[in-house]
Amino acid sequence: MGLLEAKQISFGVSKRLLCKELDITLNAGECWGVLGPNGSGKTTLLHTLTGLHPLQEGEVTLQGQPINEMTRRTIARQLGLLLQDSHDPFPATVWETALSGRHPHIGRWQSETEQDWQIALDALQQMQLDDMVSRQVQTLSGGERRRLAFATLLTQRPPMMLLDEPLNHLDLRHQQLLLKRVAERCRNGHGAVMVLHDPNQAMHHCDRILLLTGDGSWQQGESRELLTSERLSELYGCRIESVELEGRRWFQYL
Amino acid sequence: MRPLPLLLLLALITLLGLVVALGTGSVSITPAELWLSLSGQHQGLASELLFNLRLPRALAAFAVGGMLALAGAQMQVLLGNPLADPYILGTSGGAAVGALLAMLLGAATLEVNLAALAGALGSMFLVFGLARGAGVWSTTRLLLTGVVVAAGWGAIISFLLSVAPQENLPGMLFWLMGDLAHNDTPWAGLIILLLALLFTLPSARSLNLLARGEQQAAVLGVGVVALRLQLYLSASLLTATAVAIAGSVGFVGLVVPHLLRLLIGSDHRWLLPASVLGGGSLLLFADTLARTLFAPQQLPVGVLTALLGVPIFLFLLQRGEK
Repeated sequence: MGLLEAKQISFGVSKRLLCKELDITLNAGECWGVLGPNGSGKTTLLHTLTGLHPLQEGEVTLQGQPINEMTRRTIARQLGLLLQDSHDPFPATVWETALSGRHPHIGRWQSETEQDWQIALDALQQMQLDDMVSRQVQTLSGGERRRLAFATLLTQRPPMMLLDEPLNHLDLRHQQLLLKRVAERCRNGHGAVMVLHDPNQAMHHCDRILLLTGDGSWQQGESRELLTSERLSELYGCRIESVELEGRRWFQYL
Repeated sequence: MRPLPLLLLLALITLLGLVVALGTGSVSITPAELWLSLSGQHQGLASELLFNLRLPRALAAFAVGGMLALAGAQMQVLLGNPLADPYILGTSGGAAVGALLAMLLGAATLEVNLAALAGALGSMFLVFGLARGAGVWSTTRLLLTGVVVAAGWGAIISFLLSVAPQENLPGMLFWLMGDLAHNDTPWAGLIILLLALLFTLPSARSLNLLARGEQQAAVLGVGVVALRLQLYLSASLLTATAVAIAGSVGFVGLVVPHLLRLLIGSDHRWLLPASVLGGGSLLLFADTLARTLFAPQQLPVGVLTALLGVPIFLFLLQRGEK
């Protein structure tokens, strides 16, 4: 049994079918990459797997239990989603935001304990944000906000995390940092799914790949088997070449 | 500022507001006399005045202010917009139409209040039903429906004012600006205020998340649909009750939650009780001024809330930017 499983799911936006009868099993310890052109349903897939977007057919199960029979709170303890964008119309500090990741673990009549603070502080340290805990979120840069959103997800500590374009806005150093954190979690037996745009990152950081075309069809497999220059060129509709360097495959598309 | 000291300070200000409200008027009552009267050791004209006029009015002022500020804080989270106020979705417009119609028909105070309540509740269900429509209940749809319904009420209000006989106009205008003059039953308001606060406080942490967007809240385990429904009902009922008691007192619901956010941040576990105390005490002071400033002439309290609130708010805004 996988951590998160989709059985024969179909979903779409308004009347457009994006993905038809997808079967996918996301296991503990695996890191998946989702690739596809704009509008092919990558974000919608993550939202569907989290139960935020309605299924047309099929079933999603989280640790064996159908997700549409679970409360949001139970889901949130096992499954986290990094949204593509965050917005903060009201003032809040970095600390308050990171600590909000503990919400599903704290009872209605309880408040955060020292242990929750420690977890939040640890997550902020992991994303190198611990020197700005009292800053207002509205004063952060785009990349800092992105790191904070990921730190909030670390604070949530879900066994499975879905990441919607996690590297957006991040500089190269912090891209590496975030990818390192994801890899660490996968080594510790957690699962991860990343929506990515760069086939090189998918190639070198993901064990398995799902390709979405947006017309209902999909392909999945081992990164090395699935990611070839022919397949990527066809997927994106532009020329992508590959080179092998010291046993690793690199894609060029400039 | 730390939230707990502010909460204590607000409680102190509320107490001070009560003493001032009960003590000032055509006959002054010193705090010592107040104590004797309230503890039942003293009877006479002062006690009569106190129990029949000033105490009910002061409590009503506190309840109305508290209800509006609490409803404002809830509405701002519900609509994800710091500029939302309790009246934005048309509840007060519906109440005004009900009240003005009753006045035109020559109804007594109690009937006017009931008509206002009926109008407010009617408007609340109308907006709710229309916004639900096809089953999708998005923030934008709710906001647009509410704003449009409110505009409709506005037109009817203008119509009623333009056809009203001359002698009814001052009363109608007073009602529209908010007026606490006719209040002998403050308990209903106080009880509803207390219930709404107790009902919302357990979800205060969920409100913090909803303030960062529906999806973010859902991802972190908040049952968004139920919470938004709860917020809508709670904010609407609070507004309906407040408006039925005192007419559309402006400013409190928009600015008090905002002002407190500037002071203690956006944690609703503190913000909600602070809003109740802040809104309540603001209206308490405003109403005392409204009935004493040009005594025996009374001003509509809505004028005073704005006159008091605008400079305080602007001062804090300036300070907050540094």
